[in-house]
Amino acid sequence: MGCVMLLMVPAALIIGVLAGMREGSRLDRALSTLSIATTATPEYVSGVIFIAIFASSAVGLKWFAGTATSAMDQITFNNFTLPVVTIALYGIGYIARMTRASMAEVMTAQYIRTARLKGVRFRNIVMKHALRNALIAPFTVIMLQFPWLLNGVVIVETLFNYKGFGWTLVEAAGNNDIELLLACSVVAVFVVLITQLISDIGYVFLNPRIRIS
Amino acid sequence: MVGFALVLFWFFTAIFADTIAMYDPLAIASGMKNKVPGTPLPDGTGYYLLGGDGLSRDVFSRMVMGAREVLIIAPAATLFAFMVGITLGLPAGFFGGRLDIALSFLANLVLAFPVILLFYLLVTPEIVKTGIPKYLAAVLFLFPIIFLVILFNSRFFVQPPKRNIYIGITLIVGLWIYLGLAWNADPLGIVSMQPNVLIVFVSVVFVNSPTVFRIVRGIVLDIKTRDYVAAAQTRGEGPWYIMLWEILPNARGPLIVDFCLRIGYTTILLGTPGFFGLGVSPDSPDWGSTINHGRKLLSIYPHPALVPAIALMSLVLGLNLLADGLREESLRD
Repeated sequence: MGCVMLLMVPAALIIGVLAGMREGSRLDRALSTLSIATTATPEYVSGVIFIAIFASSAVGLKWFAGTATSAMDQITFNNFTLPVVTIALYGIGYIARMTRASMAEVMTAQYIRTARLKGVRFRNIVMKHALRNALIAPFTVIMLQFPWLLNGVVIVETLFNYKGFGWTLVEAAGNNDIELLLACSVVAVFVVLITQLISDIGYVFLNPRIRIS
Repeated sequence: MVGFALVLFWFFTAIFADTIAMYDPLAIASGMKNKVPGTPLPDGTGYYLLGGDGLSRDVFSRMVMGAREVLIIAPAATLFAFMVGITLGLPAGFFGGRLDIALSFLANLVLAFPVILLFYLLVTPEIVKTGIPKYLAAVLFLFPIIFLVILFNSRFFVQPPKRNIYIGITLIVGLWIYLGLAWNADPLGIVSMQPNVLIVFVSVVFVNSPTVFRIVRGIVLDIKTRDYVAAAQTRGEGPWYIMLWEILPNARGPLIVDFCLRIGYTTILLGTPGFFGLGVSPDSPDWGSTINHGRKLLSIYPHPALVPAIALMSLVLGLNLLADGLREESLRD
C-alpha cells in the first residue's frame, strides 16, 4: 500500500496541477479525459487488461510477471509493478480531478492576477503562489482514498495471487469463517477511522483559516 | 455527446439483446473451446464473432446478454438508493436537531466500512442464514413506497378523493411488488427475484444510500434558507409539502448528475461480487463473473476476459462523460 501511495499521490498531483494551471487548454482537455477514463476503469478491469497486454504469454509483451506470488518473499520490479499500477491508476484519476478543480479555482484568485501583473514568470506563479493553496483540498481527498485503497487491495491481491490482507479476507469468506471475517473488518474500520482523524487534524495545519471551536 | 452516445449504445444493445445475440449465451458448441475471434462453427452455421470461452460458449452473445443484466440491475439499484437517501435526507436536513444527528451518525457508521467488507459480510452464507440481508431488504424496499405515499399525500391533501385514488394505486402496486421482491411471496407469482441476486441488490442499495443521504442533506441545508421556502411556510404549507414539492424539484440538478455518476459506480460495484464469484449464479452472463471466469486462462487466451472488461469500461466511461456534460449544462443557467 505504501508503494501505491508513493506512486499514486505524486502522479495524481502532477497531472492535476498541469491540467488545472491553464483551464480549457488542449493539455487540460487531454489530461481530464485521461483521468475520467482511469476512474471509469475498475481495478478488476484494468488488472485484466494489464495482464493481457504486459504479461500474457500468447499475445502480450511479456514485460512483467502476471502474478505477484513471488513478491511475498522478494519484491522486484518485475513482479510488483502491475499490482501497484493497477491499484494506483484508479485513485490517480480521482485525485487528479480534485487537484485540477482546486488548482483552476486558485488560478482565478486575485493574488495570482496581482503576481502576473507584477511580472512574475508563469512557472514561478504556479510553483510558488498557486501550488500551496491548491493542495489543501486534495489532501482530504487523498486521506479519504484509504477505504478505496483497501477495496482495491482485496481485488488486486486476488487477481495477482498476493497473499496479504485482502487475500485473508477472501479466504475467510470462502471458508465461511465468520470470526476471521469480523476480525478483518475491525482492522479495516480501525485503519479507516485513523486516516479520517489524521485528515481532520492535518486539514487544520494546512489551512490556518480553520479554527477549532 | 460522446458519453451520451456510449450510454445509448449499451442501452439499445440491452433492449435488442435477443435480436443481436447470435447464440444462446449458455449454449455449448463442441470444438469451440477457447477459439480465437472469428472462428467459424464446425458445422458451418456461422461464426463466433469474438471467439469462444473456456466452456466453448460464444463470447459475443454472452457480452450482449450481460449488457441486459447489468442495465437492469444497476439503474434499479441506484434508483432505490436514491429513494432511501432522499426519504431520509430531506427530513434530516430540514428539521435538523436530534433526528439529523441520529441519521447522520448511522450514515457515517455505514460509510466507515470499506465497501468490499460490507459485501463480504452480507454475502457470506452463514450470515445469509441468519436472515440479515432479508430483513435489510424488507426495510430498504419499504422506502420507495413511503416516499411515494408521502409525495402524493402532501400534494393532494386538500383534495381527498384524488389523494385516495393515487395513494390507493401506489399502495396496491407498491405492496404487491414489495411482497414479490423482498419476501418472494407475491400472491400472483409474477414478481420475484432470485435470492442471490436480491442479496447483491440489497448490498448495493445499502452501500449507496448513505452517500445519497449526505448529498441530499447538504443540498437541503442550503436550499431551506431560500425565499420561496419562507413563502411556502407563510402560506401555511406542511413541512412535507415544502420538502417534496418546493425543495426537491430545486435540488434536481445536482441529483441528476449524481444519479448518472452513481449508475456507473453501481455497475462497477455489481461487477465486484461477480468477479469474486459471490452472489450471482455461476452461469450468469453478467460482465463481472465473465471476467472472473476468463481470468483463469488470461495469460494464454485473453479474449474471453478482455471483451466484457472493455464493455464494462466503455459503459462506465460513457456514464461519467454524460454526467460531466450534464453538469456543464446545469451550470450554464
